[in-house]
Amino acid sequence: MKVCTDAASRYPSNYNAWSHRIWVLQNMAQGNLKVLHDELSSMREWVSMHVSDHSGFHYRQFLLKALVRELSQSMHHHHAPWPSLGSSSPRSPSPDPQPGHPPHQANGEATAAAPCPSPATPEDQSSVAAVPQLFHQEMELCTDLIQSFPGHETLWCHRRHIFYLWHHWRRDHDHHEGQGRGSEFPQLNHTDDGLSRHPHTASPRGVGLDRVESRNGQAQEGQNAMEVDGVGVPDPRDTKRLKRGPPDPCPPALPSEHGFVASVLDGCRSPEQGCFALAYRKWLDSVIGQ
Amino acid sequence: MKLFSLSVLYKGTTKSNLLKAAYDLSSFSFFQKSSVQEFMTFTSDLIVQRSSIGSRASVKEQEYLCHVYVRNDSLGAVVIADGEYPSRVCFTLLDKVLEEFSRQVSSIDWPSGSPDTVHYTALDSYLAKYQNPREADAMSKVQAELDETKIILHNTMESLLERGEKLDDLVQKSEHLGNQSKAFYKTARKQNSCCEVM
Repeated sequence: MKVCTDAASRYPSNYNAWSHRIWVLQNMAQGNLKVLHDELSSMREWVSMHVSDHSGFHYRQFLLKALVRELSQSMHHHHAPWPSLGSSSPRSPSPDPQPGHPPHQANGEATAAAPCPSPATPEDQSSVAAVPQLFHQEMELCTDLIQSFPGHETLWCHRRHIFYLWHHWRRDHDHHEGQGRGSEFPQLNHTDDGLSRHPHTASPRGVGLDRVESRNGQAQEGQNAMEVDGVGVPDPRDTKRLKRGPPDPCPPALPSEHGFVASVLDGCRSPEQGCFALAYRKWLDSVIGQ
Repeated sequence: MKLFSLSVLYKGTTKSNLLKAAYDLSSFSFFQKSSVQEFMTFTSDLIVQRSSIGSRASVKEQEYLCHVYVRNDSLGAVVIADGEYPSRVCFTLLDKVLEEFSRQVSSIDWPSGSPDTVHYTALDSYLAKYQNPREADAMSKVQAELDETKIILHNTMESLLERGEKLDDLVQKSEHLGNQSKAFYKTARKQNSCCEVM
């Protein structure tokens, strides 16, 4: 790993160094959540100092994908307590006795053969919370870098990748968790283990709720099945849990992304930055907006 | 993102005068270091010479960006950075260095000074500190004083030259470059390969 870092530092956008790094992880640390998390945090500094190094950011995209895959696997396993399943290899889609992808059969067959998923386990909860949190943090990093270092296309490309991953994960996740939603999410907030480090993390209002954008004047005032405290806006008294730092604590969403583009264009002095912002907006509308 | 050199010079009427310089050559191989340093000095000198008094400019040369500020009192500074390093922070650095330098070194010494005679030691630490732009400078997004539209952008070193002037000739005549560096430059140009340093 040190060799990889060294090589990456010497030659910009060093595809070989980074693909080797990926190879090392895949072959020596397969599915190891801790390693993935550590890599994500240790590479933060590196990419911040190499903002036009596409390979570095591509590596982060790989890490995120791997983490999401691992966490989603463990999430869906808790919903499908088949004794025969064991722990499936994260990398094998085919040799699976169950019809289709393990995640897909979670809801249907689980309810038939096993008792209804009752209070989800702590691991399950932190897996659920961890994914949006991961995306949120990555988007925050991206925002920070875009604002600090205007005019680097790599950063905007990275943003596209992350948002795309998030968008699709959320779509898939919402699809699978259709059944268990009501019981599962309200308990999100009680898991402080994973969230305690991050005071302003994934919104307690649930995962990726575009509609809870008070900025757009659509704040949910009343009771919502997803909300624990039943308020649409942060209760000023409840400072500890709902401590808000910087403006937008919600997981990424289309309206907030448009807001971001607008704010960049507003304060922007670099012509390239302006171009990249506009291109990103166009991408959002044409690719995501569908 | 990296800073490679930081120099303070005096823009005289016919030539400029190097007063002090600091270099970070850690990313260059051992055999390249001395040539690289010489070329950076040569470049900084040339840039100050060809910049008007009271101007700021950024000169691009291959993957390097040289940012210069020549004050109204003819004191100038040049920082050579890579393409990633935010130029705004560079100009903040140049302002800062010149301000401090002018306070510590009397203007009488500027026209005739040299790195050996001038007493100013902060350049090395500035260069080191500013390797990380966000730590060194709050990177305030609103810089009321610095009008970025006034910064002249040069896409090559050539655009600094007078009509008919050739960079090759300037290299040949330069006092800053040793024979090895000059020979290296010549070979690189002949082979038409990108001279890594110039």
